[in-house]
Amino acid sequence: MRRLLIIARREYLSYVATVGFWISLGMVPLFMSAGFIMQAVMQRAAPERAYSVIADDPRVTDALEAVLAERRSEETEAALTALAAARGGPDAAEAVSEALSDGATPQEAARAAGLDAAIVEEAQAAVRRNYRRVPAPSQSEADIRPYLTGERPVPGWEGRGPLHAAIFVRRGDSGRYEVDYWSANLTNTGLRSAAVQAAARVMREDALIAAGIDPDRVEQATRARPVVRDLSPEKEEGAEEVTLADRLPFIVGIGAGFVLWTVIFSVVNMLLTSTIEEKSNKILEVLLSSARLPEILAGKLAGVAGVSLTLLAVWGAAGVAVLTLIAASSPDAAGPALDILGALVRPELIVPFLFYFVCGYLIYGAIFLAVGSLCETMQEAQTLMSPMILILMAPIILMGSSIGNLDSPLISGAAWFPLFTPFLMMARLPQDPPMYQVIGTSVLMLATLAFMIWAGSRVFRAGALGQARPGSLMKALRQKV
Amino acid sequence: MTEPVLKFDSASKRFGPTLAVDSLSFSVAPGQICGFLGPNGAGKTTSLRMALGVLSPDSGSVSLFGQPPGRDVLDRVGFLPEERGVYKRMRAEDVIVFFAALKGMKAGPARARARVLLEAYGLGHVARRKVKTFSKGMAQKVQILASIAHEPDLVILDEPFSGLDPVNQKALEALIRRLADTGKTVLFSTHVMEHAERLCDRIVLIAHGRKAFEGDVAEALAVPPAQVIVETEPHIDAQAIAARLGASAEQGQPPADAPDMARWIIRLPPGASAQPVLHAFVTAGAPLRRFEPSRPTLHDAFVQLVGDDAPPQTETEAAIEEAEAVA
Repeated sequence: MRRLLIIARREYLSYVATVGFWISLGMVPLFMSAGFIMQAVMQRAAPERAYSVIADDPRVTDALEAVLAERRSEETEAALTALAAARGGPDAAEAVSEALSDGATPQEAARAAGLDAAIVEEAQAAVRRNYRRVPAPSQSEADIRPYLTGERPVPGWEGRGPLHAAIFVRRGDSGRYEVDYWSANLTNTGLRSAAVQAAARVMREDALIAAGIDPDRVEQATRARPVVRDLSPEKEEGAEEVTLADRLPFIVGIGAGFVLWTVIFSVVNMLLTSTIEEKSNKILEVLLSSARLPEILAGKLAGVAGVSLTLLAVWGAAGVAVLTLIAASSPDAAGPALDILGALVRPELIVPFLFYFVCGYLIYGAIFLAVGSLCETMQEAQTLMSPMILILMAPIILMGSSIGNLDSPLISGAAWFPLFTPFLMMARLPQDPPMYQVIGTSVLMLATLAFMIWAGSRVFRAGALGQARPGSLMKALRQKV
Repeated sequence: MTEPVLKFDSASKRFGPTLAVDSLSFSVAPGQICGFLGPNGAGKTTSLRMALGVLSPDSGSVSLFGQPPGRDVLDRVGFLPEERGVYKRMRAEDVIVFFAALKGMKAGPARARARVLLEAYGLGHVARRKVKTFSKGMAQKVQILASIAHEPDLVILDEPFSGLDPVNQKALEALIRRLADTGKTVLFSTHVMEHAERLCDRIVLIAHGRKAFEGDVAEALAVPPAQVIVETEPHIDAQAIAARLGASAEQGQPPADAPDMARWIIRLPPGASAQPVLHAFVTAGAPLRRFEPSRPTLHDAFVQLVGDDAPPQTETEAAIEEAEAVA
């Protein structure tokens, strides 16, 4: 046991006692925050784009302006609801949403939720105008090209970029509108879809008039929105309404699955590189002459597990500290912050997380240790690791593409594969999967863990003593397993 | 009778179809410097791994201090592997403390011992520096010190001289002698005969996994015949003179500076001296240009015992001569 601890301590300190470790520790949340901030900044920094409409019927131009205005209005309402949730909690968000559904203006909706009307200005400031109509520099499709490519400046838009789009709308022989959408930007399709929607709206209006129906009444009827309440049969009678606090465990469960994957993927690579260093330097031979094989393996696994727990502890403590700080500094945000804290600091989350972490880490750790013992260089290891990396990527892809469908047969089935179980079951647990699935996948995972430790230690011994090489892995497995 | 520190008793080890070690038996007494010699692939490293308990013999037995190589006795052993290296991102002092602690030393005494050793071997000023900043020789020295920091009773060194420059080879020889002087037992494998000849009290020679020789250096040197190089007139019948003494004569290349002369290599029978040869040539009236008796070397013994598997000699000889010149 003493030797195990000595090896674990050395392994642990070789990472934790370096400046690089603490820098990278801080970099992960920093990059994640930067990602969110960058997304917001990019959204705000998107340039306003100029467009022109050349249409026989001016109603199409008006309809396009109206569609774009409605879109901005929807974005403003969404921003207002989010701000209401942050300031006043789920109840305020719901009140805002309900008032807007009833046709209230944003200001009225804010007041209805008991919030200051200034919040509306904040919401409006968060939404940018993306497109601005300018007079068409040419009425001809043949002459419009230089304005679109930037060869000629657009009158009234000089120095602010080329014409983003020129939309030619004319009525065809069949009576339907034909839209020619000219643009050098082939990826930004927001304006194009708005133009199509506007033309369709005018066509529908004409059809309604022809049928003797008042288009305004139809428009009014179309805008009517129902009041929606989310209810859960699993909640107590009289309090069935689903709140943010009810949704959080599901969100946190998925987040925990991602965190688990990130941590395991990071630290098993540490095991790989340290084992390769010890193998190539013949240090493993000295270790084998000083400690028993299980002591070396367990020491290395424990040391790197300590690194990952440090990682989790620091991130967890930082998260709790930030949420507590938010809750303490802003009474408006205290509700959601405490809800998130409550969802994070729960035995129902922490206990399974630790269980799946230990199992996943040991399974992958045993594999990476065995591979490391066979290789003298990282180049050698990369050849062997490619299939493992693909296997490791699979659960993250599955989780990413099935966030709303974690109870789908595909995810339920994939969770039975022991190398995916830790991540997928962690994400699925808040959905209350059937008990036979929880127990069955756990048993299979534990059996795989036992096998991996057994087989991994044998390959490790053969590799450490130079009796097996990457090319002879299969041969070594056949001989030893 | 003193119990041997290390004893192989008909130990064999097979890897698949290859019999790496075949019924190997030998023992090392306390305080001895024992050379474990053999050509590449002879089974030296496998044997040392069995001695360290890293591998178990398929048949026969290996004992350390009278016991199977296990936890208790392995703490009394220091080991330096071939093609060695150390944790490059660790400080020199920490490397020694780590390996000493694995051998059962407490952290405090291990650190104190590490500082003493680093100081004694000229690395005191870099004790707190990371090994990655060291030269290859300095890093090798750190690992050698790490293998003896816990003051083991038996030090096993696998090819300890390989990769060392002549100065450090000489320093290592001195270290091995110092260990023996303090009552420690040293077993080192090598295929460089000069080190073994200078250092060893006892020699075990293996080839193809089997023991080819066990004894002291004098016994090993007695294995190859002593020889005399004679340069004389071409008409002298050296073979007849040698035959009268029970020796053999083989004609060599004529000397470069006297191509009209003949060169003979006279191989003497075991135990014979060169004196009767000189007497015989003089009596036969042979004008002698050169008469040079030469003592057989351990390399000659090695060649005699293992034949074609013997490694070349010249490189190491030159290295040692250079080391001595520097010293």
